[in-house]
Amino acid sequence: MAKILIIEDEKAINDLILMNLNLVGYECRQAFDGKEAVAALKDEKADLVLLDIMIPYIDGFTLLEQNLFQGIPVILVTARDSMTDKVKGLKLGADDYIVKPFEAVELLARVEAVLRRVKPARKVFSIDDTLIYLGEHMVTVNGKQVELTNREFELLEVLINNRNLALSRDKLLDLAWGHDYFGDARTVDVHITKLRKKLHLENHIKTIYKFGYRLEV
Amino acid sequence: MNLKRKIRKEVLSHKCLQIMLGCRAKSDIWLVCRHRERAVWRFSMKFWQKIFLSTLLIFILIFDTGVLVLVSYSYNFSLQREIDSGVREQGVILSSVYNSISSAEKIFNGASQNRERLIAVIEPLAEYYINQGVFLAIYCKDALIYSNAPEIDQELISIGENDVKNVATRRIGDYKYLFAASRVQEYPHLTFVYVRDISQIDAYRTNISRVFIAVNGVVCVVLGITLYILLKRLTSPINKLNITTSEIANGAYDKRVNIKRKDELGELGETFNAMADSIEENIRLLKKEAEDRQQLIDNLAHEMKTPLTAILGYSEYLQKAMSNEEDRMKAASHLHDAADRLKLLSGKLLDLTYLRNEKIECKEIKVEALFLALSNIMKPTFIEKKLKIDTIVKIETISGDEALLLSLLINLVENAARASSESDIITIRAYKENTPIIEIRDTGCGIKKEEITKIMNPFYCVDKSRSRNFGGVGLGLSIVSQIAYLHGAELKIDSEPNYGTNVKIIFNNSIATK
Repeated sequence: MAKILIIEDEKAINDLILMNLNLVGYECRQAFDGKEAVAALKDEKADLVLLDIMIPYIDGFTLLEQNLFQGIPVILVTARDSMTDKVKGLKLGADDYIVKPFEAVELLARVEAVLRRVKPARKVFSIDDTLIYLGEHMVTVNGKQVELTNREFELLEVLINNRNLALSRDKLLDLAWGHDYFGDARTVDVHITKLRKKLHLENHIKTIYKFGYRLEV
Repeated sequence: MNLKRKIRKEVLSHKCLQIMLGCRAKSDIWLVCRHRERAVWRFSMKFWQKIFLSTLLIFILIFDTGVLVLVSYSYNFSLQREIDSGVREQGVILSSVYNSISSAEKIFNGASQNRERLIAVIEPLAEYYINQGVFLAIYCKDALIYSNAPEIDQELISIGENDVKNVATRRIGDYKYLFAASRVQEYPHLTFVYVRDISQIDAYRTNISRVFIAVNGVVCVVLGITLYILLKRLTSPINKLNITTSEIANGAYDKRVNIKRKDELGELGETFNAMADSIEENIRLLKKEAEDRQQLIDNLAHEMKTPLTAILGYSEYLQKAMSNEEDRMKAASHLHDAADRLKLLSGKLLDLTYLRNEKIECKEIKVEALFLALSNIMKPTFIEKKLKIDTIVKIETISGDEALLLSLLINLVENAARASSESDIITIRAYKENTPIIEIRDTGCGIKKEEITKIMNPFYCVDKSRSRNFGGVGLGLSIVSQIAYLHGAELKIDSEPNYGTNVKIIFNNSIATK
């Protein structure tokens, strides 16, 4: 899994990002100010940096200006939501921007998106005997290919990207069907049932009572 | 239809006025139809134009009336003189006519009745006088005997018993004549008429009028030009004021007028500038206040975002994530901390708003007791950080609001404790140096010079992460300065990095002095 460095001075927020990224399986390290960030980057390279702008000693913009990250993609995480700050951050080389407060799904999606852009080679995701070839849109169970509709595959992809995180039916509709789809929440249930059956994922796709579903791995 | 005609008429008259005054734009003139039956027009005229027009009109009116009266008087006077001289001349000629008739009567009795005799008498005279512009005529019992004169009115020759002479002037064609008729003495059946050409009087009047029109025109032009220059100069300050006022109205508050005059307009200019000064100052203050408020709101929003992010994030985590017991405990603890911070923030904010609207009631407070209360409240913090507190009291009482002063001291001591490291000493002194002073000194990390000016700003923290660890939200000094302000006290902060900070509250207002 990708290695991510979280640079954020608020311990609560730093921990929050860490815990959410841990759910999906990213390896994370924490830095609480500019100096620690510099030290941590010298220690070990990271695949992605999540950077707060207002941090002690050396602020985020300065770190970007000093080209500290040398090609490592950077997502800014900050309470500042003014347009000039966003533009400044992006001009200085940041890849994306997350404004506090944020939702876990958004954080994961942006991290995923940036990493996909940098490392286009997609991996194969495996759950028990089920292998999911995300790049090829192909799924095999015990070596046998299973036919999935496009919608089913998209739903599966959303679940994998947000694994260990419960998603409400509305959220799933949003992510897998799109904003403009006016479907019933039941549609999700039907597709989930099909996925469970086809891929033998009854033990992994959990129903969260009165909320939605979670892929647990 | 009627209305339309009216409007058309008025538009026409406006156009005339426009041309007369050289108005620049159509916009100077406009029509407003207010009622269905009545078109009301408004004409916008500049001040100088009004003075210009009215002065010119009044001058022309008075000048022309005067001249006309003068011309008419002089004409009448000349006419009268002409008539008088004519009448006199008529008398002279009449007497020579009478003499001639008398001599003819002596020679030939009844000559006064004889037509031929009479003609023989009058003709030489008439021929003689015609060269002088005088014509003669003679009537016998209303019947014309001889005349070389223009047409004569019958009325003129009918002379009553008592009348001596009939005098009249009459215009015939291009000429004006004076007629004087009278009966010949002793021959009352004969009427002698004297006619004189007095056209030159009219010619004189025409000439005078012509000269007058020319002079009038020249005077008007000269007056107009002089008046224009004069008015333009006199009213130029009004123009300046006008331009500057509209500039100020459009937001250029630094504009001023420059009128170097000692009259009312100069005074107006000075007053105007004074007004502009005060407006500029007020606007500046308003802007600053608005900026301060915006800053406060921005800072508040920023301060709230971190705990809110934590609360939203961790609650979402607890709800959705597949987590173990340890992670859940961690999330719950972070949740609690964030909520705690929001509580602290709202409490301090409430304090601050409360302080902004409050007027304090001053009482005499025992300083000793105040310091004791302070030490009691701060004890847990001191024990936790292993700090020592040292109080020196040299004044007995101080005037102020006990709760507020305590809150002020707590905030300052908390700041001092945050800056100090283990086993440091915090000294609190109350003493008098002209006025009562409370001083809090620590030997902690100190504040850089450039930071001292900023620390009063709400939400400003010298060391954010450090202060957070001890539960600061950055409002302490705002509260302190507000309380000091309410007590009429001055806050003085001296600090040296690495050597510590010294905060003095100097109660220099009389309400706190004892």
